[in-house]
Amino acid sequence: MSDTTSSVAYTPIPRPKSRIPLRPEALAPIAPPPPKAGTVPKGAPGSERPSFLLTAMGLVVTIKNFLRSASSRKNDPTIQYPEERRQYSPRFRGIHQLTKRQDGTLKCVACFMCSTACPAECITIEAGEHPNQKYEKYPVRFDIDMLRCVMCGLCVDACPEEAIIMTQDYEMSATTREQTVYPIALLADRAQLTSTPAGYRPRYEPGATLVR
Amino acid sequence: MSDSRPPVNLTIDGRAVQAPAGTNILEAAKLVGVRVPHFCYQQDLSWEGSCRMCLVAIEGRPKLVPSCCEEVREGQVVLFSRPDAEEARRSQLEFLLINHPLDCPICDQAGECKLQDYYMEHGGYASKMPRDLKVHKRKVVDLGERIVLDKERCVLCSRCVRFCREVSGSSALQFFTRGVTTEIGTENNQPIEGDEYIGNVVDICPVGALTSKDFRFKQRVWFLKSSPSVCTQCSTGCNIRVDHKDGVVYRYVPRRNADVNKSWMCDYGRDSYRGEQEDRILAPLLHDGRSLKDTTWDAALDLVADRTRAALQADPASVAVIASPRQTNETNWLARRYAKDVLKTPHVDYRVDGSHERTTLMHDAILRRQDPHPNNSGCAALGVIPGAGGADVEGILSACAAGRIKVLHLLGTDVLTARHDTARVVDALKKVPFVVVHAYRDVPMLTDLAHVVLADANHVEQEGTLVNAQGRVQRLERAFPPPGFARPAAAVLPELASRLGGALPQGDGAKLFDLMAQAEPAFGGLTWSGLGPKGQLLPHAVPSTVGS
Repeated sequence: MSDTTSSVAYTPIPRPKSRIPLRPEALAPIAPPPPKAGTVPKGAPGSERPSFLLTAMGLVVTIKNFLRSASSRKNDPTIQYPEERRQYSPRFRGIHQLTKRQDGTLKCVACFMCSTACPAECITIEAGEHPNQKYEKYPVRFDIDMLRCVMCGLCVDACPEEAIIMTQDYEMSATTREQTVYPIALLADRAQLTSTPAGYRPRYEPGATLVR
Repeated sequence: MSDSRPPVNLTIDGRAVQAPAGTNILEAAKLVGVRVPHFCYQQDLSWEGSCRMCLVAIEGRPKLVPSCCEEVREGQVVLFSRPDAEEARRSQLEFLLINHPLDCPICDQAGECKLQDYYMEHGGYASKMPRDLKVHKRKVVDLGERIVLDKERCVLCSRCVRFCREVSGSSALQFFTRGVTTEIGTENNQPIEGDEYIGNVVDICPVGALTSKDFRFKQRVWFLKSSPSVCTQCSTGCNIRVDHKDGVVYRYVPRRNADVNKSWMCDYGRDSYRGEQEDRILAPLLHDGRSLKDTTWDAALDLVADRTRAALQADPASVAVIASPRQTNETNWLARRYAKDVLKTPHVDYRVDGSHERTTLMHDAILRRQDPHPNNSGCAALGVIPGAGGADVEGILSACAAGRIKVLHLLGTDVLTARHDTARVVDALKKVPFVVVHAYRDVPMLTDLAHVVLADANHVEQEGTLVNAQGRVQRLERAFPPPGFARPAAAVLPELASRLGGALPQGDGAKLFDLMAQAEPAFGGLTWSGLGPKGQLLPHAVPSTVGS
């Protein structure tokens, strides 16, 4: 393998002289030489030359918007986060949540549908035997790697038990890489961790109760 | 393999088929690519015709006929796709689904379930059955250390009942009660004991009624990749399918080979997937005076070459090579050439424990043989026996005990694990100043006795061939590369030979097999591609080396 940091200058590979003469077109350079820095090539249209007037004409929309936003608070689209937060639609896709049954056990039966449907392959599940024969299977490990997750919601669509939904939570900053892999502990009790309502949940019948 | 039965011509869905007399229509349809759905039919069990899924129409017959029970007749016109036959099959599936529980998320069979597959083929997605009217039966019945039974999921195909009656002879599973409450089980739900082939019922059960306790909930089957291979726990060489993911094997499943193991394999072989992956040696090990330490391949092979060269210069008969009936043909062939052509020592042998005398003897009445090693026949065919004036394994061990062997090269750990007189072997090896072992697993006493351990690959991680007790050459395919820095012995021996001034052929298993088949008359005429997935018999009978 050649050393890419070599200090030897590149020398062209010597090729033997061919007895077949080159066609005249082949001797001409393929592209014109680049223009000197700060100039435009010969024959360029007039609009390519630097012009203060043309630059100002291009900035008209920008300056109009700037003046409108600066005129009053009402016209300013910027919000003062974190004191003000945006309102999102009820189907907003935020951080996932694992839902529970009435008796407090996780609805998830570790069927791997979400893991299979996930386009980013970010869900890792290990299944285990549930002591209650009615439930039979439960996730011993359910990790979502939030750095891989694209928040598409396909896992919610795939789940046959409505065990995974998405909340309207989107604040997931972390200081270490380990903190970005969310285990069951962080996913299951999301209702206690935030005050945002449930977001992406496909089967939302009026009057339905969702134990979060 | 020629079929002596007369051929019969018939038509299935307009396509002409020729099948031997005595074949049923279902098998004949397979020959032209018509896949007839079936639950109760299994190629190696008796014909039952109870599930009624394989119904086809035959011209001239008033009623639909179960194709698994109907022998082919000359001139029959079978109509698989006639609307009434399709409707009958769809209705039968609906009947089976009426009381079937909605267990797909928790059922291990998902992904390889016949009910799921036929359901997707036939449609009928809108069930007319109210869920609260389904008949409920016992779930998660523990039937011993291998099987978990779910009575609700059973479709009463009776494959397991017929298997236990006809193949394993234990009659462990039976039908109980009648009508809609009919269920499969054992008397009083007692655990199944004493049946060493009961693991096969998990394979033949078309739904998730009988599942393997060992595999329970470990992995979803669609994540697993499959590779064909051969079981290495006895000389029968049952064909298997290795299901693995990311370099971890999750299970062995038998692969059908009508000449070797039909559709079955024994539980002992089935369990062996675990042992093959435990305590792996991940890099070559070098003894530094106190213990074995990881090292590089270059350092290990250089040391082996230096010590071997020194010993050969002093006395050519002080170097011995013990081949292994657990290694592939290619490895044993290279080991024989390494000993005889490169080292030029007469001491080379494969008969590590006397199992070569029992290779063809059966251990039980079904599949398993008494010889625990898969390739005694291959070593015999390759003539991995001592040269003139050379010692066999017993002689080599005696010479080691007498201090006449200075370098001992072992192609496997069998002398330490497969023999009864391990204490004598350990004493003999302790007197050898330099012991080189190809090992893929850490076995007791290995770290005390070996000076260099060359990390080997197991049979799932290398391409090669084995010869079973019937003289059939069968292929091993590589499922994934060996872990860590391990390398198969067939790749290491040529490098060692070149350090000693010799030359051995290099290449993958396919290339080495073709070279070996050209060089060895015992394998004459065979090629890797000619072996195919089912293997081929050796052209001549395997020479017996008993008593030689």
